[in-house]
Amino acid sequence: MVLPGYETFATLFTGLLTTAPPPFIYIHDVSTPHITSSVISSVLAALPDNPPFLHAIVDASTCFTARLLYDTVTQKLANWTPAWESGCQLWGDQRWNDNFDGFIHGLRAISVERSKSSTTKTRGKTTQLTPKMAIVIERAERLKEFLPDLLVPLSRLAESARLDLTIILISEYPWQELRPLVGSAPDPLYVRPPELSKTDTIQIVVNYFPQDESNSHNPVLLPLYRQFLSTLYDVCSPFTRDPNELAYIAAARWPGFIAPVLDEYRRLRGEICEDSGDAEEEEFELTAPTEDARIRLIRLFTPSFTTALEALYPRLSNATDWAADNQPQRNLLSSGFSGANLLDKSVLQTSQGSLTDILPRMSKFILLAAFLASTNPTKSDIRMFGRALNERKKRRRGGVATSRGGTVKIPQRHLGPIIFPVDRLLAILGILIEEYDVDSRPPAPEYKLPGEYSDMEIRRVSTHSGVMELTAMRLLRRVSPPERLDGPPMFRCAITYDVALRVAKDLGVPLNDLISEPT
Amino acid sequence: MKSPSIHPHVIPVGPTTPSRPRALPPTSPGKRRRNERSPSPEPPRLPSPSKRTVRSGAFTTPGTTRIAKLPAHYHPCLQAQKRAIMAALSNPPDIDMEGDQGETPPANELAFDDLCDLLTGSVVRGEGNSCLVIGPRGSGKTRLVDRALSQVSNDVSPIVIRLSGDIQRNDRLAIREIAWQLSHQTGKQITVGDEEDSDNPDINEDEMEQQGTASLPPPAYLPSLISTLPSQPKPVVVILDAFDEFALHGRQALLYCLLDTVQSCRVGSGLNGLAIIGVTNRVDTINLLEKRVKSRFSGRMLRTAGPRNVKDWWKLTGAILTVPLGKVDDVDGWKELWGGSVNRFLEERSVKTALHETWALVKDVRMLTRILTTPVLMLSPASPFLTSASLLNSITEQRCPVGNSFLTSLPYPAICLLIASVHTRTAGHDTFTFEMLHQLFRDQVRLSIVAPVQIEGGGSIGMAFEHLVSVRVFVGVAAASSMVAKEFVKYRSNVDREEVKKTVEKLGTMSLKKWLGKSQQVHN
Repeated sequence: MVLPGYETFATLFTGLLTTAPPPFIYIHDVSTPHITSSVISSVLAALPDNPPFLHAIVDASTCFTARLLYDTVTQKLANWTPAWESGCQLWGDQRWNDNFDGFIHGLRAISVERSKSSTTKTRGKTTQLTPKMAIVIERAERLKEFLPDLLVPLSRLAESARLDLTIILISEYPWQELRPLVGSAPDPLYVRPPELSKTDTIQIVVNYFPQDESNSHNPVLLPLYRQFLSTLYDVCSPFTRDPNELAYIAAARWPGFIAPVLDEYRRLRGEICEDSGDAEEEEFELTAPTEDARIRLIRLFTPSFTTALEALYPRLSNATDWAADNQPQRNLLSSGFSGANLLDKSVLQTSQGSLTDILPRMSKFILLAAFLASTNPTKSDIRMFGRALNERKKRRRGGVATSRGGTVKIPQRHLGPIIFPVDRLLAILGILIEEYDVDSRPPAPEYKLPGEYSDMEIRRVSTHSGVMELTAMRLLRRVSPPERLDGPPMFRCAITYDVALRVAKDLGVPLNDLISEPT
Repeated sequence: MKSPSIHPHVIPVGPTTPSRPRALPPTSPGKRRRNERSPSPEPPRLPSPSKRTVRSGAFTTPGTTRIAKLPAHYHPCLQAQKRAIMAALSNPPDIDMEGDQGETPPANELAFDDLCDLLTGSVVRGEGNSCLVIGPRGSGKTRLVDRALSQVSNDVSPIVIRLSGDIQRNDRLAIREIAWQLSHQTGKQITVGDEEDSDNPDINEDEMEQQGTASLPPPAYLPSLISTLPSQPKPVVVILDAFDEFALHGRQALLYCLLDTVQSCRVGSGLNGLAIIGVTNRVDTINLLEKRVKSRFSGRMLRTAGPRNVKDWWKLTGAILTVPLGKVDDVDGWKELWGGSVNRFLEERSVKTALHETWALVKDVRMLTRILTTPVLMLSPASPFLTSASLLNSITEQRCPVGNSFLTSLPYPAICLLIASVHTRTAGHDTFTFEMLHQLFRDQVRLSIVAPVQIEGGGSIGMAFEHLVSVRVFVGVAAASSMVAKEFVKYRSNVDREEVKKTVEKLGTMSLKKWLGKSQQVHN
């Protein structure tokens, strides 16, 4: 069966392969390469078998060495599956994977072998039919990474093997990116895959509907499912139109979406069973909800589509967990619920965010100091943290800073953290705890000099072990190798600005005043 | 090393976007535009009344605005014609190239005669010969060699050894392949002592093998194998495709041995002949040869060329499209009907212009076949004749595919990121990190009153960024390392400002246009 939207493409492809297949076809598909390749495989499988048409569909990301590629292609073309019992023997009486020549010899051997078994009789004469071959390579962009030497020979394979053979590359890259700069790769025939419309996309996702008799996938509910998908598509289409992504989100949301209908059904069935008395005999069919109920359902659940997209499209959560977390309350339809807060607004906490909550107070200061050390340039330290006698106002650069040459300077926190030695971290830490931690300290009469307490604090073993602990948690990242003894160890902060801001707020530190560049 | 200058994508003729018509033939722009707007700009005068109605009055030929359905009894003919044309496209028919009086015959004919003479010398008389076939891509080099070989093989069939510089990347592989092909064509087992590694399926090994020079076979193998070539039971023809690649092998040992054997091949010594035919598209190949190799090469160079003038090009197109059907499929009247439609198609001004442009850009016959493939395949009983629209469409896709034509189908956040990347470039930063673009995006959403995209979470915009990276719109400037968090990896954009502008205009979203327009103001 050809997927909706791909009819013209499939016709064109069938026409190409059944008449006179060009030696080299390139399909550049940026949006749905996996669907295109599944269409091609179904086209290839449906081709007439006279003359025989052998095909192999391989994924370049799994064939990351030449041997793997040769073996996968030859085994698939020969339709051979290695069996454990026979010692996982490959097809043929010799190895075809030594080099490209061996691969070509293997292809010829397969062609000869197949033409022996397929003959045709015309006017009493038996002639052998030479099989046609097609080799489809998905994710061909990986070839450039792993096997750049093979691109030219592969593109000229039909010519060098002297077989009726077609190479089909499917890739997210345009051919100009893959083509070797210097080389004699011929230009392919470009075939453009179609762009899927809304109806096509929805139809593809509907095809995934399991159609079993279990309640949530009862065929009666199919029209509702279509309506559900249509709304889901409207919400998700600005971000992704990939049918597989939509199907994933739908799979997570549908059980919750249909739960109120099923609750209602169970309630009604229970009532009827009570009335009639015999629960076993009564067959009460599940029916599609009324139009009014559908509209209410869609209105209730539409806000949750956005949260599903935000959580599931980047895979911040998985479908099962998300569905479990977002189950609607029971008997939603009959309770006359307005839907204003269907979902508890639990903010999606990133792992970093929850980690910072469990850190000890000193570690939070270390983290903050590390963030400042990674964000502020070294030469601004005296200006930012210096405690001169006259307490000059710390001057921060105002407005949009421009360096010479008129280019706008990019804040360091957009360019990524800079590397700092542990000494600088400790110095900034000392300032921070001197300024912002004094109030929470226990009385310590033994420290008389100003700043002596902080000085002691940053020299404690626990401070250093805190640094190492944060490194182990990957909130700091050690840049210098541990075996290097000369010089202080170098670090880089690995938390984002948002996390730093939350930590600072927790500690009562005005973070933005301490960053040398405007935010 | 192949010279890239003959490649259609690197022709230095300025931006070769097919959407912008080149003014090659002297037509006024007004006329051109009118042509492009109407897909079948057939003036009513062209089809003669006799051609307009064939057999049934209800049927009209292309050229009139509406094409009626093909009568049912012609349907098999159309299918057969499609098959015939597709076969002709994969193996274009030979046409007599037009030459004015007194002009030399086409290069390929001369080269064919020379090559036949040379091969006959080796195969029949037992001479040792060597030559180079040089010509641009798609000019028929391989075809020429195959034709000459098949002509010579009528008398005596030689042993043909085909090597390719792209596949046999070092002499060791080449020698193995020579031995394999020899043993397959003579039935004798020839070993070159390469068995030592065949029991060791170590993956690293073939990587080492591809490294080349390190695993060169001992030089002793080369002469011992190659000097046996003239003493084979039949004459031997060695075809070296991508000859220039062989010249890059270490010490050019293979070429030296081959050419040395050719030179020492004497008529009448009881040995069979040997011919070496190098095929290359690199014009300066002869300069790549070392002195000792060059002195053993005969210096014969045969040149091939594509169609010399545009008339040949048209003639070839016509010959492909009107390829005759077999006796079985032919139905009375089909040939005239089809031939008439093809003639009218080729007479159309836009078709003529498009073919002329293509010929002026690339004189590669394979390009012509690729351009014709899709329009022919799309023929159906509902639209049985070729139209200029389908040809122009196909030219846009095949001749010079615009790599970034997919930009309009990108999701909304991806377009926003593209605009942000234009802004960073305007600000003087060619490379950018995700954080920079994200900040610009957030600023823009904050500034504009209409915020069509929610940004909490930031996951979707990150996915859009990754999508752009995966389709090569954003290209990393340094290798990814585990030391740099992924939002700070530096990228540059593969798409220039103009393309983004076109995309945004095609999408027609006002807020995006305004945002992109801001960078223009800063720019100016």
